[in-house]
Amino acid sequence: MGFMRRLAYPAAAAALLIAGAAAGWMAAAFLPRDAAAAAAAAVLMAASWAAGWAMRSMVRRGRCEEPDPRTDGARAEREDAGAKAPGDGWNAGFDARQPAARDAASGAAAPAERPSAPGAAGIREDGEGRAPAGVEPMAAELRLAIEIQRRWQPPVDLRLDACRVTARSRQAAEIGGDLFDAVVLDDACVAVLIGDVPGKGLQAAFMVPALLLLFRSEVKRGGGPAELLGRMNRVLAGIGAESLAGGGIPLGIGLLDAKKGEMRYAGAGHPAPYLVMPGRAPRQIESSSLPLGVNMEEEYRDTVFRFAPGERFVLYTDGIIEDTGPDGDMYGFDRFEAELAAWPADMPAAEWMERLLDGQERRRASRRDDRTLLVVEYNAGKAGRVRELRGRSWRVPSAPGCERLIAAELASLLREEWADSGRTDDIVSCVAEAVMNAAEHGNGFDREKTVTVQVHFGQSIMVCRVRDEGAGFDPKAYRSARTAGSRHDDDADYGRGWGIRLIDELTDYWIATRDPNGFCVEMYFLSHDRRP
Amino acid sequence: MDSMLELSVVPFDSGLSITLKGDLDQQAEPKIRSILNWEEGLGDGRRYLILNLHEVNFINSAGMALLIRIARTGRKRDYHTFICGASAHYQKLFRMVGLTEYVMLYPDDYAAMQRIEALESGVTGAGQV
Repeated sequence: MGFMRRLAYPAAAAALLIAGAAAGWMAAAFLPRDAAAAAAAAVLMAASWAAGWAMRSMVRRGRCEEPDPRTDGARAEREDAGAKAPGDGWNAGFDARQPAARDAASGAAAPAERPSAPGAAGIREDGEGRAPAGVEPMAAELRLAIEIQRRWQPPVDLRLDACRVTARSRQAAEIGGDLFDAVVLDDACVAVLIGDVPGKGLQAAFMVPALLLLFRSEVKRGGGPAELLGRMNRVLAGIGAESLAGGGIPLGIGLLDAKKGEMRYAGAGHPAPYLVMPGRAPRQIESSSLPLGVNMEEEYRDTVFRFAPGERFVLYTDGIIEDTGPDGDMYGFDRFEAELAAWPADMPAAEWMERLLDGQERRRASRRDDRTLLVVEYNAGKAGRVRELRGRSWRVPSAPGCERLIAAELASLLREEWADSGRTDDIVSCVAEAVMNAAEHGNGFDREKTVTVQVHFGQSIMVCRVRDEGAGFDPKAYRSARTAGSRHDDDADYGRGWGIRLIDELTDYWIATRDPNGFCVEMYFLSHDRRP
Repeated sequence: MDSMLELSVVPFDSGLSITLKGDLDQQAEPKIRSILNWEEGLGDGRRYLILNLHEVNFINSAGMALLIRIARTGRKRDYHTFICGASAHYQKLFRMVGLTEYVMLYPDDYAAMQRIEALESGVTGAGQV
C-alpha cells in the first residue's frame, strides 16, 4: 500500500499533465470553432490548476521541490524569445509538429542543454545522481511541460512594411508566467500581445498556452483590441479563470497597421506602455482597467495613435519594473524611463532589450518574476524614410508546375534578402511543396482558383503563408499515419504525404489554419545562427 | 506546364548512365518513362543505372517519388540504381523520405563507375552494393 501511495501523486500529476496536453492538441484540431476553443482553454486551465495542486502535494510530501528563483534563478535565466525552439506554437489552427510526440522522442535533450540543472524544475537527485524513486516520471513530465510552453511561444522578430516587432523574455523559473505573441493578420496588420499569468510552474505551463490559444482564436475573428479583450474576458470570467490562475490576468493587446503606421492598443490591468522618440522623454499610454477574468462585465478602451518616423512603442511586464537589487531597491519606473530616453536612434530593439536585461542581471537581484519586453519600431533609426519593405507576395493560377515559378522567384528573393540565413534551399523546398499541395489538393488544379504566397523577413526569422481556396487537410491524419510508421508497398502510393513530411522536417514550425476564405499553411524558418 | 527536364542516355558495358538537366517534378514523369520500358529492366543484361543529377536545379516530392519508383523497379528487375551529383540539400531530402534505402549516393559519376567496376570484378565490400 505504501508503495502504491508513494506512486499516487506523481502518477496523478503525470496523468493531469498528459490530459492537459491532450486537451491542447484537441483544441488545436477544432480551433476555428470558437466554442470549442474556449472549452479547450477551460480544460487547459483546469488542468493547470490540478497539475499545480498535484505538484504542491508532492512538495508537501517532500518528493520534489518547486523551482526556487533564489537558487535556481541564475541557472534558469535564459533568453526565451530568441533562443527558443520556434515555433512549435499555435496560431488559431493545428500544431503540425506534434510536440508531445517530439518531446517524447527528445526528452533527454532538455537536461543536456542545462547540464548544471539538478533536474527539471528543481527536482533533486540523490548523491549518486539519481532522482528519488518515483520522481523520474514527474521530471520527464515537467520537461515536457517546459517544452510545451516553449513551443507555444515562437520567437518574435519580424518586419512588416515599415515596422519591426521584436520581443525578448527571460524567465525567473524554468516555467514562466509571462506571455507574448505576434500574429500576422495580413500583409499590413499584425496583432501583438503581452501578458503575465499570476502563477508559475505547472499552472503557468498550462495557463500560458491556454491564453495564447484563446488570443490566437479570437484575433482571427476580427475587432479591435478592446473588443478582443472583452471577448477573452468573458470566456475567462465564465470559467472562473481568476481562481484557477491565482488572480486576474493582466494583458495588453496592440493592433498595428504597418502601412499606415497606426497602432490601436488596449490594456487589461497591464502596465501602461510607452511611446518613445529618440532624444525625448518617453510618454506613457494610459490604459487603466481590470485584469482579465475578474469582472464579466468589464469594458476596455482602445487608444489609437500614429507613429512618427523613428518612434518606438514599448510593452513590458511588471517583472522589469519590480526587479529588486540585493539591497532591496526596486529597478522602478525612473530607471526604466531613463533607459528608454537614452535609447540611441540607431540601436536596434533587440540589442537595446538585451542590454537592458543583461544590465538588470548584473545587479544580482533576487529575481522572482519573469521579465518580458516587446517593442514595435516604426522606421527606427531611419527617420524620414517612409517604407522599408522586406516582404513579397505572389498569386499564381492553380496549374501543374506552378510551384516552379514561385520556387525560382523565392530563391532569387532569398539570395537578395536572406543570403546569410543558410536556409534558402530548405525554404524553397518547403514553399514549393506547400504551393504544389495548394494547387493540386486545395484548388484541384482549377485555373480559375489561385494560390497566394506571402513572405515576410525579419532579422532572424522568416514567415511564409501559402493560401488556397479549398477545404484544406487535417494534419492529424498525417500525424497518425506517421506515428503508425505506415509504409506503402504500392508504388503508386509512393510520394503521397511526402510534401507534408518535408515541410514538417524542414520548417522550424508550421501550422495550418482555415477561415471562410480558404485554407492556409503558415511556415516559420529561423536563420541558422538562431536555431537551437 | 511542360516538363523542364532534358535527358541524355549513355549506355556503357554493364549499365545505363542517364544525365538529367532541369527540374525533376511530376511533369518529368512522362519524359522519364518514355526513354525505357522500365518494367522490363535496362535491357541487354545491364545491371546498373546511374542517374546523374548534377544539372538538376529543382526536385520536389513528386520527383523524389519518381526516383524511388525507378529504384524499386530495379530491385524487381535486377538492376542497381546509383544517384550522383545531387546537392547536399537534396541528399538530405533523399534521406528524409527514405530514398537512400533504395539507391546509393555518390558525388559524381566517376565515383559511381568506380564502384560499379569494383562490383563487376567481385570486390563487393561484404556483399553490399
